[in-house]
Amino acid sequence: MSTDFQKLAVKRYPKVIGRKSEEYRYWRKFKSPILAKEYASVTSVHFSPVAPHDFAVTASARVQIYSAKTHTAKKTISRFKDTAYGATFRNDGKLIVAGDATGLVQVFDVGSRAILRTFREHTHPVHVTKFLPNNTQIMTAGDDKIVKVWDIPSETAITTFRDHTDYIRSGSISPDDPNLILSGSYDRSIKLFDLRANSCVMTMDHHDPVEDLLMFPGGGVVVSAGGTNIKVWDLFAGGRPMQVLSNHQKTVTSLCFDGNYTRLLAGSLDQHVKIYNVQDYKVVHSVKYPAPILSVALSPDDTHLVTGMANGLLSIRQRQLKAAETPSKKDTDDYLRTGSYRFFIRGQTYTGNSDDFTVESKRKRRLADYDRLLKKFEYGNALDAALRSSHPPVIIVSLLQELIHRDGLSQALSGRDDISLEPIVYFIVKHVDNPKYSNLLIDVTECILELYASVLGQSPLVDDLITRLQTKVNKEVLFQKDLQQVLGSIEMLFAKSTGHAAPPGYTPEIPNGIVA
Amino acid sequence: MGRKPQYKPKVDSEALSKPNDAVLLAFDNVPAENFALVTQGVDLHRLRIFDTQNSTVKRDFSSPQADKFTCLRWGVSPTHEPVAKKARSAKSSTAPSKVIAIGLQNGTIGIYSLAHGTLTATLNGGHTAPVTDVVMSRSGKVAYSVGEDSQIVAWNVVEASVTSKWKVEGQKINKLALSNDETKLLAAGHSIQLWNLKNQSLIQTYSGHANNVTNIIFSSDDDFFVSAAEHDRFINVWDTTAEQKDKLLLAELAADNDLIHVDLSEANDAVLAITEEGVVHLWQNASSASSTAASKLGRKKKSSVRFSESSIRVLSDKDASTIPILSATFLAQSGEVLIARNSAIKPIFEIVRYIDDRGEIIKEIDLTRQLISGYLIDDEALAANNLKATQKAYDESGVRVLGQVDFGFPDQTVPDGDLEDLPNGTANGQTLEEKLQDLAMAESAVDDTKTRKSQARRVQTPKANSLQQMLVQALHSNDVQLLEACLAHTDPDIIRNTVRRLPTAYVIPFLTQLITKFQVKPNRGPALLEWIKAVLLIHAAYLMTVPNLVKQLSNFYQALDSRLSGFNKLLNLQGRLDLVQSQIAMRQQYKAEDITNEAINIYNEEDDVSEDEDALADFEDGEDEMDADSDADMAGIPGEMSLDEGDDEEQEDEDDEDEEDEDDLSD
Repeated sequence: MSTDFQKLAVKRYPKVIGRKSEEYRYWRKFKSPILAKEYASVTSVHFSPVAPHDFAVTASARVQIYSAKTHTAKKTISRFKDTAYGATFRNDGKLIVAGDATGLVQVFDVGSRAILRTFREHTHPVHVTKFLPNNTQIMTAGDDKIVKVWDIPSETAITTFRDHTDYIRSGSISPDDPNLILSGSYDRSIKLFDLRANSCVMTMDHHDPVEDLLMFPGGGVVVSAGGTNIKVWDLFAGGRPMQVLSNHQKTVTSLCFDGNYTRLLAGSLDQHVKIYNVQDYKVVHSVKYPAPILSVALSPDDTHLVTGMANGLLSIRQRQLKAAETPSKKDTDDYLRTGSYRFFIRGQTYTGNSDDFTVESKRKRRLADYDRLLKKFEYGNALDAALRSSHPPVIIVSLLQELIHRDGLSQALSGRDDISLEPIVYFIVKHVDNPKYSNLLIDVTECILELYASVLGQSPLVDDLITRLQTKVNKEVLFQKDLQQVLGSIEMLFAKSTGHAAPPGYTPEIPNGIVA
Repeated sequence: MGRKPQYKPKVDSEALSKPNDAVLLAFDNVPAENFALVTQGVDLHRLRIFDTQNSTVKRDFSSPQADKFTCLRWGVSPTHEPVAKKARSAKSSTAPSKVIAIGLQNGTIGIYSLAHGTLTATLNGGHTAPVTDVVMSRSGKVAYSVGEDSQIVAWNVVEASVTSKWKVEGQKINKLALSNDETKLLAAGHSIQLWNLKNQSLIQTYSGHANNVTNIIFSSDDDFFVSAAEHDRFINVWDTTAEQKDKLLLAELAADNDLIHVDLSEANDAVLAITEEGVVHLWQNASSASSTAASKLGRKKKSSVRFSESSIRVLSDKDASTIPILSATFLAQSGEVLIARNSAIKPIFEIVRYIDDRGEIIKEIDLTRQLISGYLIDDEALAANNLKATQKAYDESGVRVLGQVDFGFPDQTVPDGDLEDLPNGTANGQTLEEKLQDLAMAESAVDDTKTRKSQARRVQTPKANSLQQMLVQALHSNDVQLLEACLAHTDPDIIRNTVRRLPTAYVIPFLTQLITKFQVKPNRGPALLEWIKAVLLIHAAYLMTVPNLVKQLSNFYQALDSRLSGFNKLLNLQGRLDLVQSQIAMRQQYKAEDITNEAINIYNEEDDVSEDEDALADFEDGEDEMDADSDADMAGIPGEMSLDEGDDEEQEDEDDEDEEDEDDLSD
């Protein structure tokens, strides 16, 4: 018996570097954007910290809780008389707090939507409402330049800070130490308050009205957005600016972290969400949206990217988790109730021990249609089959290469009428100017011309293609002449620049380039 | 006949069936200074009033409610002093302020004042159905109207109240005419009723038209009236004084086509009529001629039929086709008519004399005029046309101006016409746009003579031929779409300017982006190469200073190099393709020549050949039945690749062999 038929070896070409990085592919997985239309601009989006990570969307006078599974509003809280702002969940996801444009702050039960507490001491719109990590206190700040900390059970203000001189539009609480509160204001400053000292302990100057603030989990680094810049501050070093990111063209309005604090997402009025790697603060990806972005949020499990826009659009993008990423059921609970489905299928996923002898069933190799025909030496038919089905061009080129190796190209091409000759000629016309394939395709063309030169001019179909091929080849020739000129100028640049600046040990590749 | 007060509401309105054309139109009373024209606007009727002196739009009015206008009549304002009216013929008197009574679809009548430009009064409560016609008394204080509800309503216009109304039995009235002494009213459906207004009694019924009457006019002394009906080419002249039924019809005036409009001269009882094809027919002295005819033919109970004594038609200078006359009216001066021609969008007015110097009537008047079609004749262009002050000699003078660049302003002489009595409105009718154009032209002509030095001193307006800002933004924010938008430009000027202004900090990032794109999408090469070239050329000095330029560009260099490696082969292929193409061309040329030269001979030969072929084919069919595959292949090649048949078979043989080999091996 002969050796196994070797499948057609598909050619591999060197990949172009610098495109489509890992990061790019990851963020591209946030697919199938669902657009929901709200009544007014979406001022805030906040994810529930507990699974299934529903998210609260604040728009107009309503707070809506969207289901992460169905991507539709499952609860609507419309207990405000004016525009609502900044709805945020508590750590356990059971309570939600939001302020409104009259200065009212209300705490709701997520399940029943009932108003649990009402705080009425603010006189201006309240844009920041956040639960403290101890779950019994709330921090609020608003356009009356006041930061307040409230006690939920007694419904009273514990502390009031009046250090800011302009609207306060952002605030954050150190996840590490609940006594530290940050607020960013339109007076261009970021202030750190210590609840133990009841005073402002640090002030940082952002130079632009601060729109949003974030704090890293360690509590040492703060990220602030204001104007077109994002600034990173080191609190441990006394508020030293670490980085300035200026990749947006318009005001950055919203910041958020991914689930494990390795990426920073920034939404801006220039309709882009840019994603930074927090190691080097380089933009690793950017997503464009149809309208200026006011709020951006990423779910804690990194599956949902929700963006609220100024025109009331809410974009929800979801990434499907891979099987490896989802925690297996076995891990979550290994208790099996008798009679349940899982009880009956128990043991079916048993994989055996590592030293067990396993009998592997050999999978029969399935050959592609052209491979099958190639195996039978029906070269012409193999080529037709490859051309007929929508294979990528690299397959067809590989097949042609294979045919040349087998000395079967002329056999595969000969004996065709105009109808059956058309696909291959069309393929050549389409791809002859691709530098990857052009060399081979020129050979194929020459073969075709040799075979059919005597009968050309009889079929308008083929003649038309030949004319198109000719124009394409002429264009390519002109283009390559241009290229040659560019090559010449690059060589000159190389010659001049290598003289003083080439890294040692690097030899320019000009000579072999000319030879080749 | 001018014994009676000259002021007579000689009004005519009618519906035209032509598309895009006037719905209603009417010349002003005797001085004929104005021409009212109702056209179909986008959703409502719009009334425009033209100055007949210079064809400009004086007033433009459309009903605020989207109501259709059903009829219109000229009249005078009822608030006007009656003294002034009586002394109207004297030049010193203030002219009565003109109004138009507009009948509306909803049964109300609007009094549109020319002086105010709006509806000054609305008469409602009289009709429940669309108003079909209105007449106003000479004083303008009394009006009579009739609607589709067959009610004739007498109005007090000053108080806007109904003075009386009565119902007409038997038919629908669509035309009214008021006698000059304002004691009698004619109401016409398809028969005509003469009403005594004093006691609202029916005096006489004139029946003679088969269809609805479209025009009905009293003579200046009320002793006869003329009427015309739709789809009818006869004008009937009726006697109002006659008692006997059979003497009512004085005369019949016959035109050669259906009539759309009729007018009666106050001065000499001449009648004009416009036919469907837009030709004006004239009859002089309808009453006197007819009265003599009547006296002659009275006994025969048959009135005379008179054909027109004169006709006026306007011919296009290009193809001698008839330019339709929309409307026409007699002027106060005897022997002159004012015609409105061309389209309803921009009518042109012209005074035509139909009596020559010796007082003889001119039989046929053919005016050759330029057919103006420089504007879009559709309803959408209506508004634009209204805004431009329309003018008669608009296009004609415009043509002439182009030739006379040396003149700052165009010569405003009117183009050649058969008659010299063109309206005097041509001198002042240039639109502002035309004037500006002329100015610009004059200026440019002067500029040419000036030296280049002065031109260089002119302040250059900044040019928008650079994308620099956009490109910097795109690079700065890593915005792929914006960058693509920049790169989509192929204009070499824009590319050069953009790259030249690109800050050096962005040169390397831009170049890297370009190179990556170039390598990923080879098909975009030609477009991107323009940019790459520009960067390399313009920023060469900077690039030389970049420390690791070689490293940055080596990839690109190799990509280019590999692409160029096939250049010789490509040239080779180009040559072969050229050769093949030329061969094909030659073969086809030869074939064509072959056919033209020897057509007849080949025909005879082919007959023979085809017979042979048939025989051969039969033979082959019998032979090749076994080899079904090759037969099918041959059928698939209709005399096309005949040269390859041999190859084909060989190949198949080979295939068979191969297969056998394989079988052997597998065995």
